[in-house]
Amino acid sequence: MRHFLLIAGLLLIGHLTVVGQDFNLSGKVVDEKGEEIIGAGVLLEELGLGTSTDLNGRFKLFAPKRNYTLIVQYLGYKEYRNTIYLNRNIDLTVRMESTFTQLQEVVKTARAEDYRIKSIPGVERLTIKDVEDVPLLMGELDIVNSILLLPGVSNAGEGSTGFNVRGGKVDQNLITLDGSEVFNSSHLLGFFSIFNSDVIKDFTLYKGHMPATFGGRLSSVLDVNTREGSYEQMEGSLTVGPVTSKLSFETPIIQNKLSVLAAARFAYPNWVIGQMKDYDVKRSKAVFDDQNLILGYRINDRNKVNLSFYRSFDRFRFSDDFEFSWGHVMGSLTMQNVISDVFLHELKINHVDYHNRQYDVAEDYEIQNGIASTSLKDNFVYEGFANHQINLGLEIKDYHQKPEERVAGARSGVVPAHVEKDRGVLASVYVDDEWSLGKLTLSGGLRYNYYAMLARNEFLLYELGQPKSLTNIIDTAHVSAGDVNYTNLEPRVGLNFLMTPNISLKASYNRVYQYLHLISNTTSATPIDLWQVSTFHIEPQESSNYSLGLSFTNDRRRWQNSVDVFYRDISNIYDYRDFADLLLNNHLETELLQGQGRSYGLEFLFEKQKGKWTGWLAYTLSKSENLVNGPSETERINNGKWYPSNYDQRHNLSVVAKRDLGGDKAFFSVNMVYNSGRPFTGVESSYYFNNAVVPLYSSRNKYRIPDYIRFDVGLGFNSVFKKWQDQLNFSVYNLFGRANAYSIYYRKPTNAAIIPFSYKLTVLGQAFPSITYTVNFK
Amino acid sequence: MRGIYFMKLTSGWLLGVLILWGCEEPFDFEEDKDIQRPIIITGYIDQSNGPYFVKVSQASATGSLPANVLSACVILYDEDGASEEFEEVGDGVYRCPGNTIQGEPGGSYYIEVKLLAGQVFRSVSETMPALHASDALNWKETLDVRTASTGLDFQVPVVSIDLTTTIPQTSEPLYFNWVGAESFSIIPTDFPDPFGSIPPPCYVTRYFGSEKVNLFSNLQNKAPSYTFEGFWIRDIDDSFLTKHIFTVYQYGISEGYYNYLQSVKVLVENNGSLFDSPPGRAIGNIYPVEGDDLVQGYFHASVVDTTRMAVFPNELISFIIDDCEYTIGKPFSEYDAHCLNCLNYPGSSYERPEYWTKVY
Repeated sequence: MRHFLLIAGLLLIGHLTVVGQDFNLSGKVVDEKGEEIIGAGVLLEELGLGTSTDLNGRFKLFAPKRNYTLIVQYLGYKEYRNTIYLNRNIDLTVRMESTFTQLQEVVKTARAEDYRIKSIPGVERLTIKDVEDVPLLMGELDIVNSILLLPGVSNAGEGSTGFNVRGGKVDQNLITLDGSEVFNSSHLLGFFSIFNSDVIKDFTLYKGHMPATFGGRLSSVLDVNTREGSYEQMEGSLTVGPVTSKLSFETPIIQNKLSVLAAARFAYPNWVIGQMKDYDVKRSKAVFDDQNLILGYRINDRNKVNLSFYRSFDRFRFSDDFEFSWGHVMGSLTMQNVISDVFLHELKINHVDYHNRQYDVAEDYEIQNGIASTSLKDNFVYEGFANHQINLGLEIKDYHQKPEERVAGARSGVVPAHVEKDRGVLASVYVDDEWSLGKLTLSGGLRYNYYAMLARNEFLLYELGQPKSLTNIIDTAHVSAGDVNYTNLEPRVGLNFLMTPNISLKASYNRVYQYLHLISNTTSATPIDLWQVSTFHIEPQESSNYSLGLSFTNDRRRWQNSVDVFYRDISNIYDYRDFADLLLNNHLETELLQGQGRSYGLEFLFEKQKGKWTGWLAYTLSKSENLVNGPSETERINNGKWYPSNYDQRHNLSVVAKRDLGGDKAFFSVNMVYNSGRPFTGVESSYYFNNAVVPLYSSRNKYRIPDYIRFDVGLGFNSVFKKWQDQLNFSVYNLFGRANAYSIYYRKPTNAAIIPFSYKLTVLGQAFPSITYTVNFK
Repeated sequence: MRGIYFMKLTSGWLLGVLILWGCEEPFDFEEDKDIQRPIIITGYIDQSNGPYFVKVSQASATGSLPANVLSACVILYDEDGASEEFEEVGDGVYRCPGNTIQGEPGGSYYIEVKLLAGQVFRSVSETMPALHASDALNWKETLDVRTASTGLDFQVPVVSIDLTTTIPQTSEPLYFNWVGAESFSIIPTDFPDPFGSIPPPCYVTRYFGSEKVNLFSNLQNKAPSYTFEGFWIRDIDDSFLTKHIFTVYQYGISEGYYNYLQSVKVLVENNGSLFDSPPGRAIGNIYPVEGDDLVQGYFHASVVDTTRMAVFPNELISFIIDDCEYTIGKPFSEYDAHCLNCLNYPGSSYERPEYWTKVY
C-alpha cells in the first residue's frame, strides 16, 4: 500500500507542473513503410526543447503558443524539418525518408545527433544500420558481436556463450526478443548470436540505468525488437555467406492492414569442418537454423496487434563420441492500444521454451534439461502531465524448470534418472517516470517484486555453521507452494543535467534483484548449463549499481564523447565448490558457495558521427572481484579473500572506423580490439599418483592469460549490379592471424616426465576471410 | 560416472571450439616459485600377504621432479590396534613386510607417517571392500588413423585392447579402478664372438594409461558387464618382437577413494577448455595430526585382482623391423644404443618379471 501511495504521489507531483498556456505537440515518427521509428530525435528548434520517440515511435512535447520549426532526425534518414503553428493540441505523423540513395554527406549519427548528450546514463540504443558496416565474422552480421565493441561489454573470447557487462556474469544480462526472455543468445558454440539481422529493427543495451519497466537481472538489459513486415509492398532479401545463408520475405496480406514477415537462416559449416586436419574433427558435424515469423495487424489508427514466433535449433556432434543439441521456441503476442493522445496501453504475452540435450554416443544415453517461461506484461504509458512520460505496469513471469532426465538407449547399462526441478513465479509492479525539467531530465522508478517458489514440497535443513552437505542434514522442512517467497523493492534513479547545450552530467542509482541463476561451473557459460530459480537455500542475488558520467559534443555535432564511472556491489553471488557435481543433483545448494561481488571501472567513448571517416573508440578500465568467505573452511575460496572473477579484464579497447568510398557506393571499415588477459588458475606444482601426474593448482584466478589483440577489415559495395539493390561485402576477421590465447592449460608430456607443459589454446588462430552477397528484391 | 561424463563433455566443447580454426602451442608460463609445497603420501594395502608399500615425497616447482622424503617413520595400524612398521627401501619408498598385519576384506587400516622434521601425518581409516569384479582382456590388430601436420591422414598398425569386466550383481554400492601395465623384453644385437655367447635380454615393465583414470561405480550403471573399448591402443613397434604382456590391476575401492580419484581424474584429464570446471585441490584422506602443514595423497585399502594377456609376434600381421638384428659390415656406431646394451632402453633391467613364463 505504501508503494501505491508513492506512485500516486509521483503522479500528483507531475500533475502540478501542468502549465495552462502550453499546448501539446504529439505524434508518431514512421519510416517509408509506415513502421514506427524508435529513438528518433525530435526538436523544437526555437526553444531547444527536444525529446526522442518511445518504443512505439511516439513523442510528446509541451510548448507555449507560437510558430516552431519541428526537426526530426534519425540515423539513415533525411532530416525532417517543418514549420508548425502551435495554437492547439496537435497530433501528427512524421514520415521519414531513407537516405539510402540520396546522401550527399554521410551522416553517421547513430541515433539522434545529440543522443549521448540527452540520454540517461549507460544506455546504448542501436539499429542494424549502426552495425552493418562493422567487419563480419564468417560473413554474418551479428548484434552480440557488435555490442562487444562498446565500452563496458566483453566476453571470454571467440566461441564463448553470452557476454559480460560491467564485470557481471553472463546470466546477469536480461536478453529479450520482442519481450520474450532469451536463455541462450548463441548459435554454433558462441560464434553467432540467435538474432537474425534481417528481422531486427533495433536493440537497446541498458548497462547503467535500467528503467523500472525491466527487472530480474543484475547487470544489463539487451532489449531486441523485430520489425514488422511491409504494409505496402512485397519485398525480401537473400544473403549468401561462407557459413550461413538467410532468406527473408515480407508482404502485406491486407494492404496497410495486415502484414507478414518471414525469415529463415541456416548454417552449413560442415564443408569447412571437412577441411580440418584431425581425423575425428573431420567426422564431426555442426548445424544450426532459425526461423522468424512476424504478423502485424493494424486494427485501426489506435489499435495494433503483433504476433511474433521464433524457433532455433543447434546440433553439434563430435565424431562418434557425443552430441549436443539445444534450441528455443518463442511466441509473443503484443497488443497496443492508444487510449487517448496521451495514454497508451501495451499488453505482451510471451512464452519461451528452451531445451538442451547431451547425448553420449559411446555409452548410448542422453541427459536433457531446459526451462520454460510464460510471462505477461501489461504496460501503460501516460504523457498527460507536462514533460512527463510515465510508465506504469505489471509483469508476471512463471519460470518452470524442466525435469532433468537421464535416458538410456537400448544398448546402454546406464541407470535412467529423473530429477524434478523447481518452479518460481515472479510478479512485479512498477512505475517509471521520465521528467524533463528544462536542463534537467529525471528518470525515476520503483519496481516491487514478489517472488514465490512453487512445486517443491520439502527442503533439507543443514546444521548451522557447518557446510551444506548431505552429511550435515539435521531435518527436512515441508513446505507448500508460496511458502518460500521473497519480496523486494527496487528503486531506480537516473538524471541528466544539461550543463551547456553541448555538455551533460549524468548519474544513476539502481537496485536490482535476480531470481533466476545460470548454474555453470565453467569459465564461460555453455548451452547445456542449468537454469535454476531461487529456492529456500538459493537466495536471490542483489546488486546496487552506481554510475556517474559526463557527455559532451561540439556545436556541429561531429563528435559525441562520454566518460562514465561505475560501481556495482552484489550480494549472494554464487560460486562453486571444487569439483562441484551439478548434473542430476536435486540439492544444488550442497555444491554452491554464496558470497559477494563488486566491480568498478571507468568507461570512455569517443564517437565521430559525421564526415568521411566515422566510428568510435571505446575504452574500459575495470575490475571485477568476488568474495566467498563461508563459516567453514570448505566454504571459502582463496581463504576468504577477494579474488578476480573469471571475466575480470583490466583494459578493454576497441576502435571502429568506417570510410565512405564515393558516397553510398562503397565503404571500407576497420576494427581494432585489445583486451587485457583474463584470470586463470595456474599449475604451481605437481606430484605422482597411481603413475599419473597430478597438477597442483594455485589459488583461484591467480594468474592472467596473455592479452588479446585483433584487427578486422571490411570492404562493402552497394548496387553491384546496377538494376539491383544488392550489397557485396568482403571482410577479414583477425587480419594478422594473431593466435590470441583462449585459455592456458596443462598437458602431461608423453614421456611421462613429471612436469606438465603449459599450452596456450587459441580458437581463431588464423585470419578468416569471408564474402557475403545480399540481394534485395521487390 | 558424472565426473567421467563431465570430462567427456568438456573435452567435447574444447574440440568443438577447436574445430573452427583452433590451434594450441606451448606457452612459457612463469609460476610463483615462492609457495609452500605439500608432502605427498600415497600407498595401499590389499588382500595379499604383503609386502605393502608407501611412497613419501614432496611436490616441487613445475619443472622439477618431486623430492623423495627420506628417513620417515611409517607405521601401519589395523582396527584392532595392531601395528607394523615400514622399512625404508630408498627413493622415498617404504615397505611393510606384512608380518604382523595382513590385509583382509572387511578389515580397516590406516597409516601414520612421522618425518624427520617432526611433522606427523595420519590417514583416515579405510575399510577394504569385500567384492571384486571379474576382468577379461581381448585384443585385435587394427589400423589407427592419424593425421600428419600437413593434414594428410595416415594409418598406424596398433594393438587395441578391450577390457570387459563382469560386475557382481548386488545392491551394495561397488567402486572400481583399473590401472594397466605392459611388460616386454629387449634383445640386444647378438654380435658374433669366438665364444658364441648370447647377450642376456632386458625386461621393461611400465604402467600405461596414466593420462586416464578408469573408474566405475554400479550406482549409475547396473549392467552386469561393462566394456572399456580401446582401454589401451598400443602402436606396434619393436617391443612386439618378443612376447608382450599386458596386465590390468583391478582395485575394488572404497567410496572415499573413488571420490578422490574422480577429483584426480578431473585434474589429470583437464584439457584447458573454457568449459573446464575451475581446477581445485583433490582432498585425500591424509591429514596433519597437528598444525596446518600441507599434505596430499591417499592411503587406501583395496581388494586387487590381476588379469594378464600376452601378444606374441607370430600372432601379428604387421611386419616388425628388428633394428637390433646383426648385419654384416654394419659399424657399431649405426646400431641403436639399446642394441649394444639393452639397459640403455628407458626403464629396462635384467630382472625378469615373476609372471613372465606364466602368461600365454
